[in-house]
Amino acid sequence: MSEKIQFMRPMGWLVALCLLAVAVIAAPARAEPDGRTEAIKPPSKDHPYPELWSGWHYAAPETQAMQDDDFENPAMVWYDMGEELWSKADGKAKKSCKDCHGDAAKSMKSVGATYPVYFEPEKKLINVENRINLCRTKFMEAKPWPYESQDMLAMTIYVKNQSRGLPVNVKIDGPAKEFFERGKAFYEQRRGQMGFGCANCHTKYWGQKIRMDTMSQGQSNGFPTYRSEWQKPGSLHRRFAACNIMVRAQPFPLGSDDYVNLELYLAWRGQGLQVETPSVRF
Amino acid sequence: MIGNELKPKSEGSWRHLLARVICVCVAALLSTVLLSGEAFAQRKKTACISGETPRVARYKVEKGETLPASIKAPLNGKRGNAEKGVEWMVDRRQGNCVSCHVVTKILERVKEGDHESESKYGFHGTIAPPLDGVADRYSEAELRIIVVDAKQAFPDMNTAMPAYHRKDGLERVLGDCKGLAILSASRVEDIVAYLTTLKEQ
Ligand code: HEC
Ligand code: HEC
Repeated sequence: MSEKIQFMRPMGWLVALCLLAVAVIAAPARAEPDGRTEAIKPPSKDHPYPELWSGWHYAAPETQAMQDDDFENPAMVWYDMGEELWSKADGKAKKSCKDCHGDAAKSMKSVGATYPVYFEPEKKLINVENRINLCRTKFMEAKPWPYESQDMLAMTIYVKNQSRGLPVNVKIDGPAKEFFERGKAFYEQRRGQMGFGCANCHTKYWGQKIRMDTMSQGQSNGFPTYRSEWQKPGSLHRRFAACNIMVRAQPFPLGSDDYVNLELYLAWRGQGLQVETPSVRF
Repeated sequence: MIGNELKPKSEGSWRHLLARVICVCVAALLSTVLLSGEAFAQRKKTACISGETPRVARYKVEKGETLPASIKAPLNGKRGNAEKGVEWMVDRRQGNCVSCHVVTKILERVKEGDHESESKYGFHGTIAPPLDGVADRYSEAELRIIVVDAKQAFPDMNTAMPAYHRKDGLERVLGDCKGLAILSASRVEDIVAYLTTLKEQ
């Protein structure tokens, strides 16, 4: 009896060791926290959130899976359209984006993670959409695309997708600071018949239930976003307008300076989250 | 003669005709724009007004027992109907109170396996304190100011609760909601009537 136990002990240890080895080898290398299943740390002490969560975290599992599979993600249709437009000549100059920028995978790599940026010639911020139209009018001598048009959404998705997986990293100092501060003031300002600012919902109550929805941190890292409610992708500014209208406030024009300043402030609130364009929401 | 002088030099009859055609076109265009604008306004109107126009009533704010403010008299002179109050509290375009507050007695109205009653009475939010037993904590006059203008009821809290019966001090109110309250006086009274039934002691 005791002999048997004596024998079992080293055997048991061996088995345990083997199991452990297998587990270590088989387990996927632990990924860096990306704000999806594990929160990431905010970039500084003065940050409004103690931890950062991508909107992905609050989406239903089916919606998450749909976003993560490029064949299932309905917004990828717009990505394909964007890819086609990239090398299509347009305007009087008969130029395409590709003629100036070459391979988007290289030249557009960081754009989605760093915009909006301060733009010296106009002494204000520009976002990706505005930048696209600037190239169209100035270098291609083509008509600007309307903000929420199919072509604009397609190109924005294509460009921002080149940064997918990169951490959001916007510059808020130097000449951008003034605009950042304006965006911040906008975020705090109460508006509409219900008298809510963005902060009244997204700073204080993220993770809480508001009727059927779970309030997220209102992060911008996945835009343009495909929403089943819209049946198509929509720009970040469309989401701003939707949140304005929700509290019965008059929305601002899409592409307006007010919304672009807000866009910079919002990006900083998610500084370090990964770009997920195009994301999918209900 | 003077009239003639005022006419453009080369006015011919075909020009007249052209001017007329243009006039008609512009008029037609303008009227469609105006009409569609009207239709748009109508559509928006339904965001703010469903049933009755929620004009803001006059009311007198006095100090409350536990809160710094209260309103003693019913806004429209009569006490409300508690059963109707429940309907406004769950209606997403009226009070939608349960989007932030749990009210156990309203949750109990959900019939098991019945989606309609669930979507109507269910899905309460977790943003604000539950309203169970709220009548034990506040008088009717205090409950009235909480619904009318939570900013005056909880002045130090930067409260998230909307002011349901106030029109001033609001910024950028959407089109036709301007100058109106979220809830009409009689609906506020219906809700207050229901809140006074929420006793646990
Ligand atoms: C009354 C509450 C409320 C207010 C005020 C509000 N939002 Fe939202 N917001 C929501 C809800 C609910 C959603 C949908 C659920 C979610 O994604 O959080 C949402 C979604 C968002 C999203 C999409 C997040 C994602 O991952 O897809 C962004 C971005 C956003 N809001 C930004 C803003 C900004 C900027 C403002 C101010 C202009 C604002 N919100 C005001 C309730 C609000
Ligand atoms: C957007 C969120 C929100 C909505 C919608 C809302 N409330 Fe509130 N309510 C609050 C918050 C938050 C408080 C707590 C005061 C504070 O901390 O600011 C509160 C407090 C109260 C209180 C006092 C509770 C206590 O125990 O102190 C009552 C009563 C109340 N609300 C009733 C209502 C009614 C009735 C409605 C709808 C007509 C409503 N609320 C809609 C957020 C909300």
